[in-house]
This record gives sequence, C-alpha cells and structure tokens, in this order.
Amino acid sequence: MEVVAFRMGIFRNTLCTLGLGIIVFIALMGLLAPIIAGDPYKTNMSERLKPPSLKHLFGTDQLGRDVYSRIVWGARTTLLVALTISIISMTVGCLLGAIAGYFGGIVDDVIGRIIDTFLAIPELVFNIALVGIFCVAYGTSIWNVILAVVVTNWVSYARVMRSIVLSLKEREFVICEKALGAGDWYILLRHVIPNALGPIIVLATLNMGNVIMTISSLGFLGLGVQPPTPEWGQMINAGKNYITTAPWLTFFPGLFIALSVLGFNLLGEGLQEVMGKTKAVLE
Amino acid sequence: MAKRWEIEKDGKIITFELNKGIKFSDGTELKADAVKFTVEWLAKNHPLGQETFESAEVVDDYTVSIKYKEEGFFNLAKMAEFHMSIMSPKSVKPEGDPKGNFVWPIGSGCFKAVDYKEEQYAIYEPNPYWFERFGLKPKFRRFVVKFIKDEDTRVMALKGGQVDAISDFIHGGSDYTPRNQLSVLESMGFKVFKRNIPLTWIIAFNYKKEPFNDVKLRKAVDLAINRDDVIKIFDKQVLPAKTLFIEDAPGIKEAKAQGVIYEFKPDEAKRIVEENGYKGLSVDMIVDKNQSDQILVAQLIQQKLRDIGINVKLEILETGAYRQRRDAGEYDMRLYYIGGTDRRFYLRMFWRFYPGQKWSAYVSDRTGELCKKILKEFDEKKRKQYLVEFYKAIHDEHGVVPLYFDIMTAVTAKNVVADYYHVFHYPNGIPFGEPLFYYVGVRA
Repeated sequence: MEVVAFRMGIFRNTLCTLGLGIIVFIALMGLLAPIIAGDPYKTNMSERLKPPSLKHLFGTDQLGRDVYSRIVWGARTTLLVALTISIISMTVGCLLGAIAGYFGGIVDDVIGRIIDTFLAIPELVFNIALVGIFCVAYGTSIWNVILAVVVTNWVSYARVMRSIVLSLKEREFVICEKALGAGDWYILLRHVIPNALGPIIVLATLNMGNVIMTISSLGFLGLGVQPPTPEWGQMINAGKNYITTAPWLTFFPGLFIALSVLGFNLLGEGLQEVMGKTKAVLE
Repeated sequence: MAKRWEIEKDGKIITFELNKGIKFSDGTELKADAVKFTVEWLAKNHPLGQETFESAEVVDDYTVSIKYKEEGFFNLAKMAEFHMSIMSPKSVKPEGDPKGNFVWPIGSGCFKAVDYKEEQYAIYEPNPYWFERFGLKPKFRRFVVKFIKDEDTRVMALKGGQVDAISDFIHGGSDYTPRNQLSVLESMGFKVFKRNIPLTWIIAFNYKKEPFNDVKLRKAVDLAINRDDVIKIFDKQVLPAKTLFIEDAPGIKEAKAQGVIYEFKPDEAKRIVEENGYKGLSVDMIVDKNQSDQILVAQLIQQKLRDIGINVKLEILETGAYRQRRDAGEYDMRLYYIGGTDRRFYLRMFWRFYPGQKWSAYVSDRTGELCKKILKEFDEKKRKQYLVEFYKAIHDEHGVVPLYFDIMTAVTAKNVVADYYHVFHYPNGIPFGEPLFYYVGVRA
C-alpha cells in the first residue's frame, strides 16, 4: 500500500518526473556512449578548435578531439565516480550513524565528536588537501578523488541516520523486538536501518548533486580525473583559456554539469514532497 | 666587460684584461679587485662557483687572472652565465669578504636595483653611469618586475591590466608564458614578441631501464612523432624540431647536410614495434601538472604512440611529485628540454649530456666522450666538428626525441609602444639573451 502510493506520487510530482527524466537522459547517454559517440581520445590536428557544426555537434578542442564524444563519455566518468562515492559514503555514514544513535552513551559521544570535527572543516578545502596527499603517496588514480570525497561525504549520512535512529529506537516495534529477546545487531540491521532508509534515499539523491559539483570542482582545479580521460570539470579547466576564442570548450561541459546537478536536486526535492504526502495520505 | 683574454694551461688559467671606465651603479669603478671578489664569493657561496673556480689573482687594476678547477673551453663558456655577473664588493657585508652575506645587488648593467623582495617584486631605475658610458639618455624612470609564479595567473594579470608585459623566466622548463596561449593573446590584440633560441623540447627516456634501454623501441617512438602536428598545438608559434637544435646553433647546419634529420615514418615505426614484439606494450609518461603546454603535448604523443601499438599511461603530477619521480628514475618517458638561451647552450649541454650529471637527458659511452671533448675544445672549428659527431651519435642511438624548438617571448599590452628591437636589445643596441630584468644582477 505504502509502496504503491509512493510510486504513484513520484510520477504525479512534476519535480520528480523532471529530475528523473534528466537523470535517465544523462545515464542513458553514458550507457550508450559506445553507440552514440565516437572515440573521445582520437586527436585530429587539422581540425582543432572548430566551432560546433553538423560534423562536430559541440565543436572540437585544442587537439582536434570531438567535444560531443568527450561529453558523452564524460557522463560515464562523472556518474560512475559520483555513484561510487555516494554508495561508499552512504554505507559508512549510515552504519556509523546508526551505531551511534542506537547504542548511545560513550559510543555516541565518540562518533558524535568525530562527526562534529568533520563538520567543522571546510569540505572542499579538505578534499583538495587530501587529493594532494594521496597523489604524492599513491600516484595519480581516480581512487584518490573517490577516497578524498568519501572522507568528508559520509558525515552528512551519519548525522541524519543518527537522529532518525534516536527516534526509531523508542518506537513500539523496537521495544517489542527487544522484549522478544532479539539481539541489538539483529534489531539494528533488520528493523531500525530499513525503516530509516526513506529519508536517507532523499538525502542521497540531493547529495549526488553535491558530489558531482565536488568532482567537477576538483577536476577544474586539475586535481580530479586526469587527462586524457574525459571528465566535465577537467574539460572546463582545459578550455578556460579559450573562453573568448572557443567558448564551446567550456559551455557544453558546464551545461552538462549544471543539468546533472539540477536533475538530482529536482528529484531529491520531489522525493521529499512525495514522502511527506504519502505519509499524510496513509495517516 | 673584458677587452681580451689569454688562455694558459689548456684553460686552467684564464687572464682577463678589463675595459676601462665601467662603473657600478653606485658610481665606483669596476676594476680587477671586484672580479677577484666575485669569483671568490661565488666559489664559497654558489654551487656553480664552487664547482668552477679555484682562485683569482689581481695582476694590475685592470687585469685579473682566474684559476679554474678543471681545464677546458667550458670555463670560458660558463663566464657568460648570469650567475657569474660581476658585483661590487659592497654588495656583501662585511664589505669585500668572500664569506660575507649578500645584502644588496650592485652591478654594472643598465638597471639599478632600488628595491626588491624575494619572490615578490623588484624595482629598478636606470643606472646613470651605464647610460653615460654609451652617451645615451634613459627613456624610462622606473621599471617594476612582479613575481607571479603561476602561468595562468600571469596571463590573467596581463589581460586584467595589472601589468604591461609578461615575459618568460626562461630557464627553459619552467615559468613561461604558455605557448598555446600566444595565438589567443594575439587575437585579443596583445603584442607577442618572439626570439628563436637553441632550446628544444624533447621526449627523454629512462634509457637505462627496460623497455627503453632498447634502441629499436626508442627509434620506433622517434619515427612515430609527427612534429608538424606537435606545433599545431601552439598554432605554429614555435618550429618543429627536425634537428636537435635550431639551425643557428653551432654545428647543426653541418649535421643536417650529413643527413642528421628527425623524420616522421609511422609505418616503419609500426613495423619495428611489431617485429620486436612490442605491440600492446604499456609504458608510463610523467608530466608536470603546472605546464599546460606539456599536458597537451603529452596527450598528442599518447595518441601517436597508440597509432603504432604502444599504450602510454599519462601521469600528470604536481610539480613536487613530478620531481620526486624524475629524480628517483620512476618513469619510462617524460618531456624535457635541452639547450637554452645562447649563453647557456654549453652549460646545459654539460647538465644534460655530460656523464654523471643529476639532470641528464641521455648519456652513452659515445655521446659522453664527445660531450667531454666539446666542452674541452677551445678551437671553434674542432669544437664544431665534435658537435656534428655528437648530433650524429644522439641521432643514431635515438637517445632523445626532439619535438619542437622553444622560443623566448615577451607579450605586451595593446597600449605599450614597443617593437622587436626594443624588446630584445639593450638600449645601446647589443642584443641580449633573455628578458631584460635578468641582467641587473639581482638575485631575487
């Protein structure tokens, strides 16, 4: 009943549909890249810095590579990296948040202070520093970016999860389980966390937008995904000096960053509305 | 500065006779004692001085005899290096003490330093004694040099009108106006001034290690590079390197006449790769992140080598990490530069091709021996012959892969009234090797 109402709500909600539409569009773009786009690495020095045309929909870059192909393949990079970051930080954050909220006492104090400490550090600055350190220590790799963002990103999940669990653990079904003699971990994993997932999914959706922005920012600063792998932020960085002579180098990657962030934000906000309404209907 | 010089003991001792009437910017005359002081101070305080000088003796007011650690022509070549600029004994405290602390630059060039802060700025005024000596009147009152490390920030400073001109800090590999920006700047109305210098960008191999210890593989890489494509990255603002250095460099024309030319033969490259079982080989190339030019060149090279069946993994690293990897020899290929401004040609030859140097590009028994001979030989004709043989050897062994000839540049704002002559000559008409502010002797 709840699920059906929720599903109906998603498709009736304009924000949700629009957001989902954009995300599906970009995801399809990434999935179908081998079919709908050419080789993103193929240089052609006799066709460098050509403006958008029928042959090159989004023009070509300094090495004569097709910007359209790089954008399409870039969708893969961006979405995959963002998704990996979100999944890891969600798992880590939720688990720590749930443990803190459920067990309380000294466990909560320790985890709570760790969360506070991370919240006090400016996120992007910390990311930049971490990527720099990882690069020196482990060489260049996409995992540097993933790890660096995860280190700061899990905190928001932990904080939300903790507060949800704090209220859930006083609810009747948890008390019943306890009375029936269920163990703490069983209750936590089977009953508490699944019941907290709704708001977490909303948070994850909204968070995906932030993560994409962070990856792109790091890419723009030359710290993220390294050339020649196509990635939108890094493409803007490479094109920034040509903004007056070849604006298509920055316009299209910028447009797609904005679109994908918008997509996730719309979906997140829509989900929030739908959840509120579903709850009201059911009650 | 020197009127004539005499070489003794194969160059272990060189006696310089100085021109009369040269004055430091504080009005005192530049005499033999200042040269002796500078030599002794450098021998104590500067790495180049330490490895070069033994001692100096004043013969008379205008004659000074310098004793070098090694023999050879290289001693003379090194005297042209800017580190060797003669400074007044008053530049250090206690005055004239070879162990003294450097306190203020007092040189004999056309500029006089009036203020500077290391890595921030330097302010110059005309040195009246220099202008007086040549019967000229200075056309400027003040000259301010700002130190802006990042290449993009420097270009932005010019675009934003904070500076009237930007120029290269032409050590070769660092801190220059990105060549890929020159055409963009030109199209925006800025004036771009260029001068050819014997400075060449190359692919340097880790040739002592597998797989590039194999000359055949180095040859394949060499033949796979289309240098005419490389220069398109820079809108042809630079020239393709089909010889090791520009034609004006000593011995290049002669070597070229003997067929020492770097060619683009992708089919042959492909054949070599296949015949020697290198197809599908993976190698890495380290690139300094702060050089946008090199990031572009590296990507093009990656593509060209992919075309012949070699996969290149690009590792674009922070400058510190890049240097660490370079010095530890943890790489297969990297982009590097050889040569420099005319006056640095032989010094860089020493650093890049002499056996046992830290920042070398390529040394084999044959090239190492030739390099030693070149730096020893005072006779210009013989030196040229050795150079031709050296170019041949490097070419035969495919020790390095020349890519493009770099240039010296200055870019000025639209409203700056300047022409090529002003930019690359001293006010007295003598052409100089690099941007003006280098010649005031400020170690800022």
